[in-house]
Amino acid sequence: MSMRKIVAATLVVGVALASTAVRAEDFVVGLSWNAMDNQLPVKWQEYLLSEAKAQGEAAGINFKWVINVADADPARQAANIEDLINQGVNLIIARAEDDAAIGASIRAADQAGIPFITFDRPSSTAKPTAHVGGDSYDQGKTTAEAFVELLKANGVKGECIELQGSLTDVNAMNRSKAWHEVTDASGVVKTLVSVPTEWNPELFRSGTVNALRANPQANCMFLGSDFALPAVQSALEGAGKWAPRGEANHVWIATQDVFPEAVAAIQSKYIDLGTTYDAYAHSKEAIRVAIQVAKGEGVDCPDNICLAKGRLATQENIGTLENLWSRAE
Amino acid sequence: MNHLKPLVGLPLVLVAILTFFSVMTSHFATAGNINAMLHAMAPLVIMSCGMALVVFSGKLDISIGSIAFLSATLAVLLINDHAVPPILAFLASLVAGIVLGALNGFIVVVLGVNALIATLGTMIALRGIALSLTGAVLIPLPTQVARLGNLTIGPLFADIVVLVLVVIAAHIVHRHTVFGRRLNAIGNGEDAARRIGLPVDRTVFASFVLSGFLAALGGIVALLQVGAISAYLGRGMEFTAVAVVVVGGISLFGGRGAILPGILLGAFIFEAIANGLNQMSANPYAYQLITGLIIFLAMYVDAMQHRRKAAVRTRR
Amino acid sequence: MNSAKLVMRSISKRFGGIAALEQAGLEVRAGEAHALMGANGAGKSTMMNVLGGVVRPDHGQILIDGEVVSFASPTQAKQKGVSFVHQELNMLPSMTVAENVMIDAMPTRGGLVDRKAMRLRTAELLRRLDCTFSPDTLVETLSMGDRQMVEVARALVTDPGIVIFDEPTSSLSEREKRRLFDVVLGLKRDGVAVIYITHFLEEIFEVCDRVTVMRNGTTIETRDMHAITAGEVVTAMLGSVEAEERVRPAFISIEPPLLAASCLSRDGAIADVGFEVRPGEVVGLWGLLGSGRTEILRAIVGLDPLDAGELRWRSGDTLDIIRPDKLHRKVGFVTEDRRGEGLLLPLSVAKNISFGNLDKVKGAFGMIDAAKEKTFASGFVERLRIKLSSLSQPVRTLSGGNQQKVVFARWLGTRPKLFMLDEPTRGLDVSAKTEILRLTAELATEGAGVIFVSSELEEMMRVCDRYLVVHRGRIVANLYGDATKDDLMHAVSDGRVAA
Repeated sequence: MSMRKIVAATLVVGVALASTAVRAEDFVVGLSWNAMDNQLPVKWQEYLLSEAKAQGEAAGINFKWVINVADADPARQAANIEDLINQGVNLIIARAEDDAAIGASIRAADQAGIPFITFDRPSSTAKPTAHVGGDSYDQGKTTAEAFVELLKANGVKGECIELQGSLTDVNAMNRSKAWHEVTDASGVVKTLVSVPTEWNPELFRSGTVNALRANPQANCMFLGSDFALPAVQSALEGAGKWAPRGEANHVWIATQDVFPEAVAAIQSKYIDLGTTYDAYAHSKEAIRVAIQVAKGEGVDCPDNICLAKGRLATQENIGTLENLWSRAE
Repeated sequence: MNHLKPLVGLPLVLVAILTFFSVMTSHFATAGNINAMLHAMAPLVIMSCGMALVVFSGKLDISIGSIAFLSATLAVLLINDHAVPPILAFLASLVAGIVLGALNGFIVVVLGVNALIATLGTMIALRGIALSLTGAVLIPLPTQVARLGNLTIGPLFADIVVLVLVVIAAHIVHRHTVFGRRLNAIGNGEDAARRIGLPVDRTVFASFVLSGFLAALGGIVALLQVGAISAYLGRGMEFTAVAVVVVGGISLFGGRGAILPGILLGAFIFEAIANGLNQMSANPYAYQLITGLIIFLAMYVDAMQHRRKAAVRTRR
Repeated sequence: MNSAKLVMRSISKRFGGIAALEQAGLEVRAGEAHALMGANGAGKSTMMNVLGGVVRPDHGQILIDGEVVSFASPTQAKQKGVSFVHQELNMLPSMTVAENVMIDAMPTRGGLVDRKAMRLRTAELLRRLDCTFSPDTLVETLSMGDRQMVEVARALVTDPGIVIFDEPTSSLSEREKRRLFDVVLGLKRDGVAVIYITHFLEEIFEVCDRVTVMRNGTTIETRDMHAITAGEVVTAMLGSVEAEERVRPAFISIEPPLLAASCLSRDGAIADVGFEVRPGEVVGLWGLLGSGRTEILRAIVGLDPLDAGELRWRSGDTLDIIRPDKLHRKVGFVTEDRRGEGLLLPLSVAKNISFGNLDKVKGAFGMIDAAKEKTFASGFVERLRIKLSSLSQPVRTLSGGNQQKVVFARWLGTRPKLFMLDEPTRGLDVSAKTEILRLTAELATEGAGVIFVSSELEEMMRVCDRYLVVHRGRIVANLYGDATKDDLMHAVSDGRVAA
């Protein structure tokens, strides 16, 4: 009898020890995309999932995902996030369609005790647990500074058309702000007109066409993002101004993000330079912060804002930049 | 030329707009800019012709934006993923437009669903299908194909020629074919048309097929212009087309108005406003406000005229 | 003696269990205008629908030019030369006359519409009809009479051998009528067989050569116009009126009048109408279809404007002038159009009954008290013997007769002093009709005045205490409840008609 008791006790203790040692905690993350309208969100998601597996395994956390996509509609996104809150996820990561509207969702998650990470696009009306994204101000600044140097070196006085992104996108506004702060004071590059595109490719095209018409002397462009490069190319081709550096009708182009089409354009010298938007670095950082949140540790970035800087891509280094997500290997 | 009467105000409005923008910007009234405006409005005009044919019979087709999007998506996927020659891919798009138009026709004529509701349903469903096919991502066309968007015939963009051909053809069909006259008759009164013995169902069905075909054609033109397929293609186009149709003097109640010159004038007004505001670097929301006002005015005038005509008192 | 162009022989047709046509026949010669007369429901429309290929007869034969024909569709009828000019015009207002005339038979050249040929043919037809407007005129600018000419022109495009005119003069002015008659005469001269349907007796004596009278789905008789009088036509149409039992004995009210009308006129509709209604009596407005009796009712309650005359309503000891729209609010209406008078079909019986009586079913805070509503409604259901399974049953599921009783119930709640009943038993079966007539009498017994309009003389004779006979918009006789059917028939066909 006492033998049986000893065996039973040992078994119980053994199982208890084994379960705490072997079982990783399930951590459910609700991921809310504003839209899947270009390759960036696709790549981000790919890297988020792969990093979650790799980093999660090391940290003993089993990441599970609930993913939804709004149709570029802030109201829809708010409803989606509400679903995530109701499902009781452990963490919400969201890329906001509207930087002001997302504040309501952040507050709602806070009331439900769910931590909230804004991804890529910060909120302008509420403070989340953490923000992870690219340093869009730095992105604009590095491009603008390099562009000024480039034109100076080539003895060109730049008169530029700026294509601005959506007015509710903080990143678009940061890039535009940085561009202006650098170039307006540079004496080398002047911005003739800022065209709002609402991130709509048709407006990229018609905006370029009309700006060129109103300002036929324009010889350079700043693209708030090159995801819609084909539209810009179409407009420039129509005006006979799509030519590589070295030819007489070349328009000097500074860009942001460096999507695959832009990689090809830089390689063939149609685009001059741009700062990358590093999808891999963003996702990696986001998971790192997510694990800190999951473990109950604080977020270790200044002011809980974790930004990853992009890298300057030029015609010289485009072939050799490491880990460039948009360049086909 | 009785269909010209309601359009008296239109040329005046157009002249006013053109003058305003010529004064406010330095490059508005140039040949090059007019060329650019006609080029930009080509998809809208082509699709508005299809919408107009359906509206003549007193019905609406608000799925044309989604038909354009789905057909264009088909072409891009065939060219990119299956190495189909562009001509065949675009042909397939047009066939898709015909089939989708027939789907609308089936739901309206055979199932008897109200046209607005039926095409609202297909508008949502078809856009959903297209989005899921592409993952809603922007997919560029191969460069040689994208170049077709800037093709010119002489000094004019090629799609302007297509625009002109479509508008003339649509006008002739409406005013000078038995089919077109039947559409008009149905718009005057579907019950009267049936009692007279006209083949109402067949005629309405055909009008939806034509609308789908022209929507696909407009989608191809829009695709080539941008050089890529994006989730924005055709979005909201159906409502702009309705606006063009109404401003162009075609009554939404059916049976009144004509394609020429109404659709050209109407589309040109909207395009001129967008173009001019752009060149003035004006607030982008000003465009929405102004076009909204114009649409309201046009619909108000349409309703007033309809009420006057319907109030003919009978003598007893 | 022309041989027959059209022969319809032993035509029978049943719809469900009801015989619409029972061995009906018609024979029309080329070059003749043949009148087809009959009261509502006599079978004229069904007969014409058979001829027009809209319905197929169960039995019988149709011969055109001696050849047996059978129509599976209106198109086939048209091909055999049968053309209709309908009462309700099928016009395409925004299109030209030429387009309207030829829309179903457009000439083409090289795939496109041949406008020149269209215009020529239309002009030819318009000339034949003595019309002066051009084929390019927009139809919406034409008067009703001219539009009808366009409809006639469309009927003539196929050069038909048989043309049917269905109530062609209802909306025409005197001058336009003359023109129509000339058209008919012209068609006769051209050898067309014309069938002329109308309820205006005098017209057929002017235009037609023979008349066929239908009643209850069969043909009663066919005679030459010179060999028949108007009175005989009416008798044939209405049949022998069985003196059915009255629902209450004829009552003569001696109380001062509730409502007095004098010199009511409306141009083209009614002229110099004057009468009184006293509490407790049922006054019938009797006349043939088109006599103007509905117009009188509508004018009294402001549905149509009055050009002249005044209405007076009792208040206390005096009769004060009252405006028609104000009178409207004091009157309880029951018409044949149950939906039109505000029966809310999807709502429950209880709700419908309480609808006009919301004060009586109010609870706290002005909200409707459902229990009070049920009690209120069930009182009426019992009294009127409304057959239903539950008070919350939607009204549309009740039979026509019971629906009509719900309408009565609603009015009884508010107890108006005057009721106007316009064809209240239309569409109801025999027992339901009797119940409604009893209810009518009950209303009068309880002190209300009732104006009763019906096209069925038998019905009126069961319930009316007085008859105002209406003819061409005027009251031509005031008869008491003991009048015989002969008196009434005589009164209604007398006067203007050449016997």
